[in-house]
Amino acid sequence: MQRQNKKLTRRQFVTGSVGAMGLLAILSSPFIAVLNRARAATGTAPITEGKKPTRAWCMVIDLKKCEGCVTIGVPPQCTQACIAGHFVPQGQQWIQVYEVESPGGGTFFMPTPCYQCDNAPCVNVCPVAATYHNKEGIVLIDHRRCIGCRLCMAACPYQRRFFNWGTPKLPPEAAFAEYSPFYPVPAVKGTVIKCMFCAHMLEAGKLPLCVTGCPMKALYMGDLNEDIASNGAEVVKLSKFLDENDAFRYKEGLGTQPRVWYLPGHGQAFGRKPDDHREFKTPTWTWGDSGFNHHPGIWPWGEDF
Amino acid sequence: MAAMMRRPEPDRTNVALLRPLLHTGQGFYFFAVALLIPAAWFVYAWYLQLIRGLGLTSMRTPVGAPWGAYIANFVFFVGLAHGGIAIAAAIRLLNLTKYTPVARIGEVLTIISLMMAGVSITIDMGRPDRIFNIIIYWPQRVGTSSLSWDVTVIIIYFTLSTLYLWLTMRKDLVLCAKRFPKLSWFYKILLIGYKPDEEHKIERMAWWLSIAIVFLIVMLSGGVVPWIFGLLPSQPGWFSALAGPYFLTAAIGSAIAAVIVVSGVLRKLFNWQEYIKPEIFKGLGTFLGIITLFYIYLILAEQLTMRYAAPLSEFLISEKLFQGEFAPIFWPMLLLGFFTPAIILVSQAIHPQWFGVTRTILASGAIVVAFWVKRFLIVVPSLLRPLLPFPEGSYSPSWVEWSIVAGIIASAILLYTLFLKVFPIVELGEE
Repeated sequence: MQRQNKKLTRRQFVTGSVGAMGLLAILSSPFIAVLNRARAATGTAPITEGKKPTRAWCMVIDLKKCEGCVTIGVPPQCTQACIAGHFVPQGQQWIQVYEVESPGGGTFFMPTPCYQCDNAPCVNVCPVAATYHNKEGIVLIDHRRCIGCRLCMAACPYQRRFFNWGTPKLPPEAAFAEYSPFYPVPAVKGTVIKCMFCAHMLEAGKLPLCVTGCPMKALYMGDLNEDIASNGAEVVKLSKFLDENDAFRYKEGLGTQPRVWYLPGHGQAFGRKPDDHREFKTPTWTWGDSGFNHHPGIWPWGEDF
Repeated sequence: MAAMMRRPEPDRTNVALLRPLLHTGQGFYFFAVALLIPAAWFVYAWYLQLIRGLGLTSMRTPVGAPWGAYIANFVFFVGLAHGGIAIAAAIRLLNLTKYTPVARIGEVLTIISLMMAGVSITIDMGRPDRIFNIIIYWPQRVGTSSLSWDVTVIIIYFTLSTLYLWLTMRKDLVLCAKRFPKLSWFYKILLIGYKPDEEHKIERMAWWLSIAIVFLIVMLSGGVVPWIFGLLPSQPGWFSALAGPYFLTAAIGSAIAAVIVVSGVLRKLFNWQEYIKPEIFKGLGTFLGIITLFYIYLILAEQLTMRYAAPLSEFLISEKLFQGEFAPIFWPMLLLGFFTPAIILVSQAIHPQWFGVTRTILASGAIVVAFWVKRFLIVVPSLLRPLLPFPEGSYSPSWVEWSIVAGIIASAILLYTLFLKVFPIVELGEE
């Protein structure tokens, strides 16, 4: 046959090309790892160096103490502190306080930050590794990498992720902030954003803004490795604190392993009975007007450009 | 008898089948302009959305839906992409030569639908400028990200189906190059490496490609696309092992319905009654009727699971469809879009004298529309349910979203029309 006279038979061609591709894959894999490391390095703030023990940040929220700031007649101060400290775009409450109904007709207040799950569904589904765990267990987002597919928002069972549907209107000083995943300011259009446990404050050895902002001292920041937690006023032994107060995690059954514990109960410290009609205020923004451009006109420059 | 069964003379056949290439009438220009208007409007709406952000859509969070019409459109077009190649592969693997005339009609539908699916998903992204991040970080994320799986399989599927179309069309391109000297340079580029005796080899390559494509159909529409939804326990109504078979059935159903509609329109337009025979519509119609009945059964199975003794969250999603805000589109979809057409198609199979080509095409058209609505009803209601104790959102697409969806559909038809003008859509005879 004519084909056999040629130098390259089909079998040789197939084995040769498969072998070459395999070789190429093997040879290029270290290169990809190097590439990824380089990218990760640009995408994160300086990693804690030296002999400091690695932290494992967690939060404890004492529901007995939280009263939604109705007693002092202001919006929840944790949310307000968060908004002010991170130039949070209008409409997003990275830590949000919900009024949950109790069986007896009363209500209790439940602050909900991002739960920083150890087994985070958002991290699992991200197609570009824009959302990731740092060494201290915080789920961060690199807004320079996020493609805005919003699969993580569909995957998050706690609905604690927000999307920048447009360029947010922020006060001018936000433009001076130096962006890092630890401090995602200013917010980037078309990307997903959320609470990051105030990683920039923790890095500087301070408590998160919501913890210091809480007038009731209901929020505790803890370190699972060192087994302590603090609300700014007292320091407790974390494991004992959780045990003695029957701590639970929200939607534990989903297996997401959240890093936020709640201490159950309400009214022990500050009650809210069915006949309590004090107003629960929503947070306010000093910037952003109506947030993003919600009203499309026909013209690209819009009515307000 | 034998004389009657013989195919018409090759040359007359070819002239008839090359009619769209040979004659370009006024109607074509009217049609093209009619499609160019929504397509241009779509480009404009997308431009608006790019500079002002996805805020122009009515998707909202945390109260509202983070995904909407674009994702429904994506799932719809991925589904549509299955019929064509599925039919072509089935014809080749099972030797169903009767259906050969519609094979390429379906293949082209596949390729154009896949392109439109890609466009839909790109438009849905907040940062389409970073789309290649998916490729850059693919090695790192393909382990766990269902979206990475999707991109992988869609790219392979697109490559293989384009290859399949190209290989099976080469024989006809030779004839075209001979007939149209003005365009022969173009056909010759596509005929790169052509040898007169390549047909046997091409047949074998196409046969193996068919096998690969059949596997990919299951992996794409019955696999990675439903797994975007079905693997998320956070969303009641999505989280289900049924998702795979459910989406696969929908994909094959919508795709075959679309092939029937497209073949019917082309047959009428170019007077191809003697080439695309009624038997083809009868066979495909019967199959579509059965598939649609099976899909109704899957809807029943799903809804029963969601209602009988399921967690409240599942029940509330089902209730949105049965009595809630989506009932006005759910019931018409089920009764007019699935049930009635399925009954028409199946009864045609039982009573041959009731068969009508036009009736089959109309029933298929209704099914295509119903499958778009169904995709919307899969994506949106689950997302509207609040996961934390806050008020329930609502979603209905904004004018930007409608413009873009309509524009994508118009662009798909436009691309198809352009293909018709350059390539023979039905396999030509020998010359």
